Amino acid sequence: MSFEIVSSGFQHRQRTGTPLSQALKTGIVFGVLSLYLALVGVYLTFDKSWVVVNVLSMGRTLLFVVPLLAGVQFARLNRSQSRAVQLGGTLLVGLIVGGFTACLLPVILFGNLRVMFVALSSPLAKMLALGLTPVLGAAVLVAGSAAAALFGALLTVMSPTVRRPITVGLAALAVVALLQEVLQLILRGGGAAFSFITRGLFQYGGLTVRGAIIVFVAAALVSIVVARLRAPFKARFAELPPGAARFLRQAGIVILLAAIIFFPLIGGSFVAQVFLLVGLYALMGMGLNVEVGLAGLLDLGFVAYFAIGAYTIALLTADSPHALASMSFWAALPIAVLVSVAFGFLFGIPVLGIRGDYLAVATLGIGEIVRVLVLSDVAQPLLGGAQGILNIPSPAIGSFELATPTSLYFLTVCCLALATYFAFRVQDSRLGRTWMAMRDDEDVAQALGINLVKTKLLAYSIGAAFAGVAGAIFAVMLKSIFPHSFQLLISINILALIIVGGLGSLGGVIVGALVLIGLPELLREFGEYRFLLYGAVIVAMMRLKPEGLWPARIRRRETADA
Amino acid sequence: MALLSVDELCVHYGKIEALHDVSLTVDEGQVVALIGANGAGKSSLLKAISGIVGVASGSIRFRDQVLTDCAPHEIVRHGVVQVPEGRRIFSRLTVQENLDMGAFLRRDHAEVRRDFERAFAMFPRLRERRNQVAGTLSGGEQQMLAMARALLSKPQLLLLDEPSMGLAPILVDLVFDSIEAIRKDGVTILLVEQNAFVALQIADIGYVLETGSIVLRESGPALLENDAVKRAYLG
Ligand SMILES: Nc1ncnc2c1ncn2[C@@H]1O[C@H](COP(=O)(O)OP(=O)(O)OP(=O)(O)O)[C@@H](O)[C@H]1O
Ligand SMILES: [Mg+2]
Repeated sequence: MSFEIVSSGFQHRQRTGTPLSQALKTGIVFGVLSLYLALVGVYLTFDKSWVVVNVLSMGRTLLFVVPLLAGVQFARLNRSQSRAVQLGGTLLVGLIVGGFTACLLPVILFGNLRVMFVALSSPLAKMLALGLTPVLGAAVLVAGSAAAALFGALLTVMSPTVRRPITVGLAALAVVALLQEVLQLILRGGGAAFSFITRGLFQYGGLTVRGAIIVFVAAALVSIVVARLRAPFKARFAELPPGAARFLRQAGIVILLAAIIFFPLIGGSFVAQVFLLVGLYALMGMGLNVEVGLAGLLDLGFVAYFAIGAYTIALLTADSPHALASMSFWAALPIAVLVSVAFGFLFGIPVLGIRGDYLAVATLGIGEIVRVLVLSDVAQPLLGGAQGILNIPSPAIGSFELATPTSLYFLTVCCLALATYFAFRVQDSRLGRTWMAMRDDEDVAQALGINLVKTKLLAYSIGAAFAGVAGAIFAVMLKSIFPHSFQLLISINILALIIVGGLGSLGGVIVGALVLIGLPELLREFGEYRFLLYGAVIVAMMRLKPEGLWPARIRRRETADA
Repeated sequence: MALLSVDELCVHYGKIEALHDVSLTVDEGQVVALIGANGAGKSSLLKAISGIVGVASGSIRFRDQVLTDCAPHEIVRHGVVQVPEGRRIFSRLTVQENLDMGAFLRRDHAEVRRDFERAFAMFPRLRERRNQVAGTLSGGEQQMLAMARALLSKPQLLLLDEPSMGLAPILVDLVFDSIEAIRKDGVTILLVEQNAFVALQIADIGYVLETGSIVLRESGPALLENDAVKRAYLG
């Protein structure tokens, strides 16, 4: 199969060169990075959010985090050099990075490049000058960058016992600052017990000075305590009889799982909404994982089955002129699954003989055809065209309506649990083995008596079933559905999440959904820039952990044996 | 009656004619070798027999079954199994799982277990490595795995496509020893080889294929003595 995520054997050669040339190189690389962040508008956008309200904006922090990282990088490469060389080099690195950034000031003030770079505006100039006059500001920026680089280098060379609490404290501060909106929401939802914490740490828009100090100190203390207790705890754990150790480990996993599952209960409806979305994507990920991860059939039209599940529910339950029936959600759900399965089978037929990259393009076509058909005038009387289908009732258990995000989230969790169990069983079954054999070599699988047609169509149908369930819940979540909800981007997101999680791994699907769907949702405050994180995560993953966050058993074995 | 008889078989890839009026018979218990230069159409013939490529005209008969229009997985069911050229193992499955796939169609579990033992006895290296991921096996071990896997599907006719390709001489000997052992177990073998010298030594009958047509059919020893064959294939 031509679609492979190859873990490249390419290794960076040990960097060589004099400390001076390395300082120049590091400075220029990070300087360009800083320019880039300025030009695409990251600095300015993040200047509107606070690390500490009215004291330190995220944009300004970022402005100095870049030279800090440059300092870390330089110090790493020059561990063996003398202190004087390290000090001089680091200062040079910081000055270069700051200099690059400061160069933007005259460009903005005297040049006129806004035609090309919208971000080069006077607010950016004001921000880069740190609110001072341009000349003074530039001087402070450059000096501050050098100081930041020095701090980074210092962190790198100091002993880990000192470094760890500082980095943990700073990291905690960064996380709390990034997630402050969500955290405040959660804490507000938690009633009186939490409102005490809320008032202690936050004000509108972010952390207070006191809050920032508390977060930093608390995280640093925790890190110190953990570091102290770790070794004795490990020793105690090792002394336990194996049965007890296994029990403890399993209990730990169960508790962690339960904590994640029930988190939206304390988190309130915003968190439940995010988790609901994560759950739906995980459900679809389970399905696509059957196709791509197990059977090796790269499907970029997967969103079609999601749409089919959603439209089936809409047509069978909605209170709308387009509805064909007015069933209950529970009666319509199995039908939605069956219809998805039928379409999985149907759409599988034309692409049976297509392999690898071509299959990706063909399935992409199928996904788009479905969307365009739904939008078209031909289907308008039946499917409602661009206006979609409205008034889809919520599912009800007795007289209890599953209308809130939280209740729908628990419905999704139940479906996801069933789906995971099913996927787990099928993966280790004869059918699962057949899929994997076909993924590795279609021709040989066929030459050993495997019926490729049957095996492929089963993969498409079963994969589609999962997406159908997700689509059904999606329909009752939105209470109305429109063709534009079913974009190609969804297929790509699902593919990305199963790759980031670890192709062919069920745990990976869930972790991938949490990271790629959950995190960006929690960072909504940052608008489109949250996709920067999305992109960065994917690139970093492919560099650092190409087998995924939670690799499938077979891949883990491969890396262990290789 | 011949176990396998191929009659006036033609195979086309678009406009390219890979096989032209090829006729060949294999009797039960024989080793039949098919030799020929690169691109002569040897693999095409095996693929046509296994149903992987379509047939333009002619017929393929196995016992009293016509295989010409059967799907590949049906042909395997009839007992005709191919080991394709180039060590095509399931690289991300373990050795054990690869062998399991060989026995995919079988329901006689007790006998499968016995065949596993037989395969491991024939290739002890595979037993040592049964839990290793097959993609990390050496080239020679992969060839052994491919053959063992085919044996587990309990073939009556085994089609081997260049089993010695890219192997060191000592491994070539090992592979050919195992081919003889397989024949002793009662499996009929159609063997395609570039390495005409070794192939013809164990073959009862040899065919020479040139640009899509059979040009010679003789017993193995006779072909080894044939001047034209010596010049063209034995160097
Ligand atoms: N799928 C294909 N499409 C087009 N032409 C093909 C295809 N497969 C084989 N051919 C052509 O058919 C001819 C016979 O190929 P075949 O693979 O049978 O040769 P071979 O005798 O097995 O050669 P080798 O010893 O190199 O394996 C060649 O000219 C080849 O280019
Ligand atoms: Mg060949």
